Order: sequence, then C-alpha cells, then structure tokens
Amino acid sequence: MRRNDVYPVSIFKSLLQSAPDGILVCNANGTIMLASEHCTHLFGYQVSELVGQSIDILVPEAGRLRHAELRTGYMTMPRARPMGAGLQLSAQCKNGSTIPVEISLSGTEVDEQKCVIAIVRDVSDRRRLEGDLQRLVAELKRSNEELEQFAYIASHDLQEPLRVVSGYTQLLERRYANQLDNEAREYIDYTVEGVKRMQALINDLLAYARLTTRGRDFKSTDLNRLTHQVLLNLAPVIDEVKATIEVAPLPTVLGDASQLSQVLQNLLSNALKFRSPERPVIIKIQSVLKGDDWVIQVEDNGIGIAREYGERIFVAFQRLHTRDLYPGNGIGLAICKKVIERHHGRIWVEPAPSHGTIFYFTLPVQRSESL
Amino acid sequence: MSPYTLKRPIEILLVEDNPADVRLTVEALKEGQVRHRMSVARDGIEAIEMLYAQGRYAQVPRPDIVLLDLNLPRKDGREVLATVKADPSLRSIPVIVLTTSSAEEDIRQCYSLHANCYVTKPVDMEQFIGLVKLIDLFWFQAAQLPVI
Repeated sequence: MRRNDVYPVSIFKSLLQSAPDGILVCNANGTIMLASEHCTHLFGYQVSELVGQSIDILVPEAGRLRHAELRTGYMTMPRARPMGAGLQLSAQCKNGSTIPVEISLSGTEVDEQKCVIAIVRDVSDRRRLEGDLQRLVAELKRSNEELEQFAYIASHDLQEPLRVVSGYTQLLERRYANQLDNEAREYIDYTVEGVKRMQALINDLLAYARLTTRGRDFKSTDLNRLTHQVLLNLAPVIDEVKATIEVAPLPTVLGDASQLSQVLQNLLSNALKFRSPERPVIIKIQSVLKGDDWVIQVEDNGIGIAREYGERIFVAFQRLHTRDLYPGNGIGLAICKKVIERHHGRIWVEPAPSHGTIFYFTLPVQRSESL
Repeated sequence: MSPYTLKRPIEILLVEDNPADVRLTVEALKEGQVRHRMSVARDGIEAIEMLYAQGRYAQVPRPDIVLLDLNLPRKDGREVLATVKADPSLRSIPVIVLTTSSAEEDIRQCYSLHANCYVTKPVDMEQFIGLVKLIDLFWFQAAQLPVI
C-alpha cells in the first residue's frame, strides 16, 4: 500500500477540479490561497480573482466584522466543524446576491503554517424545499381543520332534517295506522328504513373522517391485550356461530390502541360475518417478523373474496354483497386501511390456500428497546 | 315509590329554533303521556327573556326544567347555558341539553358549563318518546328538586 504523500499531485489537482462543493484554503490571516473550480460556479468569481483576496469578500457585508473576529478565534484553536451543524449561513457572490450555504471547516498545516480548509455547499434547493414543506404542512393543517368542521356539520346539521323526516313518518304511522292500508304502511317502513340507513352512513363517514383528526398519540401497545379485549366484545357472535379462534403470540407495537382495536375488531367481525355454512368456523391470528415490520395475519375459512376485488374492498362504502345477504355499509375495511396507513403500515388481502381469506397488515417494529 | 312527585303539570321551557322539531317534541311528550305545560323560545335571546320573565314574557312561568338545543340563532345554546348557570337565581333549574350533535367537543363543553345532562336526540320516534318519558321519570319522579 502506498502512503498518502506518495500520490502524484495531479490526483489532488483533479480532486479539487471535480469536487461538487466549493473548496477554499485560507492562511491564518484569512487570505485565500487555493480555490476549487466549483467556486466559480458558486460565487461568480474566477479562481484567479479569489486567490490572494480575503475570505471575507465571500461573507455578506453585514457579517464581515464579526466574521473576522470569529476567524481569528478559530485560528487559535482550529477544530473540525462538519456540515449540517444547524447554522443558517449565507455567502455573498460577485454580483452582490447571497446564497444559503453550509460550510465545513477544518484546520491543517502547510509548510508549518496554519491554514483552514473550508468546504462550501450551496443549499438553495434544500432551503426552498424546506419552505415548500412548511407551506404544505400549513396547508394540510388547514384542510384537516376544514375536515373537522365538515365532520361537525355532518354530525349535527345533516342529522336534523333526517330526524324530522323519520319522526313525522313514524308519527303518521302511530296516529293514523287504522286509516292506512298495508301498502301505505309499507311505504312508511321503507321511508324510515331509508332514513336510518342514511343516518348510519353519516355516522360511518364521520367515524372515518375522525380517524385522522381525532387520532391519539402513539404509545406502546400490546396486540395480545387488544385481541383479548376484541374477542370479549365479539364473544356473543363467536358463541352463536361456534367459531374456533386460534391466537398465536402477537407483538407489542407503537400505535393508537383504540384505532388498532378497531382494525382487529373489523377484521374479526368480517371473518365471522362472511363464514361458510359448509364448515365449522376457524379463525387464526398470528404474526411474523419481516425485516423492519411485523406482519399480522387474520385467516378465516369463510366464503373467500375473488382476487379481482382485492383492492376495491378497502374503498369506503364499497360492498360486494346485497344488504339483505350481509348487512353493513362497507366502511369497516376502509377504516382498517386508513388506520394502518396512519401507522405507516400496509394492508392487503389474499385468498387462503384451501378456502377463505387471509388479511395481512404490517406495523413497524418498535424501535426503543426500553419499552 | 317515587320520593317526590309534582302535583301540577311540569313547566317545560323548550329552546329550539326549528318548528318541525318543536312539534316533534310536543308530540313525543303527548305520546309519552308526560303531564306538562310548555313554553317555546325560538332563539337564545328569547330564552333568556323568558327565564327572567321580561317584557312581553312577564306571564311566562319559571320552568321546572329547560330542554335546550345548542345551535340557535342570535344567542346559541352554550351562551344560554352559561347565563343560566352563572345566575344564582336560575342555576338550580335543571338544564337538559337536547341536540342532534354527538360531537365530543359539544358534550365536553356543555358539562363544563354545568349542563345537568346532555342527550343526543334519537332519530327513531319510538326511542324519542322513550327518552322524554325517561326524562320525566328521572327528573320529576326519581330525583328530588329544591322547593322554590
């Protein structure tokens, strides 16, 4: 292996020419001794114009005096200072304009003379992106507030006329039942039914909208405990259909416990609802670790879902069956998807090997070991 | 056995802007066979005037209970609630917030303004009738209220 100082000087020269950052070497007085080709691109000065000048010409005028002091201070004890130290620096170009920069500093010695190497990077693009990002965040916040306002309108203003319709229709039935024939009573039933469904849809939409606006902070959450609770909630149905539920050990993840409970409850109640009459109901819940994610799977042996509907079932109010056959508004899986995505995971469905369906969702492995 | 029963009909102040809703409450009370007399305020300012028996409302009796909607013209239900509960001469009147809103924020806010109870109006008429019966049963048969 060759020692560094045996490399031909031409290598260092071409390094200096091709570096994508501006490289400047100054002596103890702040005089530029060497400047890389990229400095021309950055500051608009030719390299020959820079060499021999004070580095202060590249500092915006307002900061020059202070810079000279800092420079002197730095020379007494030169320490390496990397880029991205959180300093908002700017440099002045030949045409008087300033550009946002990051600067790394390090001290060295040439011919027993102290000097400083400064590497200067133009961060205009990044600053602009940061500004864009801030504007986007503000915009998102505003649109979330609008959504919340909409949710309120849905919960109050839309329900009021509905109540009036169903209230008076039912009053008609109560008060005038003996003057109405069967057909009229049937119409009334349909009207009331329609209103109730509308109300359920509004409530579902509201619940869906609030997943984002009312989400809680993520906490360490034991999925075993959540599953246990959900199974207790569903116990009457589980008993009724004589379902066997097998739960393998599940991980503890970082999340919103109430929302993750909803996911488990929706997936399990779907598994129970879409059971096959031809075989005893068996539902299996398990998890595997894949890379940085836990993959949780809920497998049933029910009627199954055709592959072509794999995407559609996660869209709000999409249903694959008539209400008579399987009641529901088609919001459950849309809620699951929104919750899992809020938790930086994915959810999808695959047909089970024999019969039925497997729902998979991922949740990131909890980082902190202390929890 | 109820510990306390009014000998006279209950005086109800209903604060509600929508006439269709007013009538629905009237009918629900009728269907629920709640013995009552009712005054109706169509907005928050009218409600306050009635509670203080001011001006043209001088003849309005002091209510035994207030059924209060939240979203009202001019002065909304929250302001009416705040006014009632800030006045020692009015604050012992039970105020039942009766609204279509089920928003958590409304519920929280009403209780912190000392609402006696917050009820979301059911869409179903049978349930609504059941609810007014329940209000009568609880506030005028089960609960003891101070004698004015």
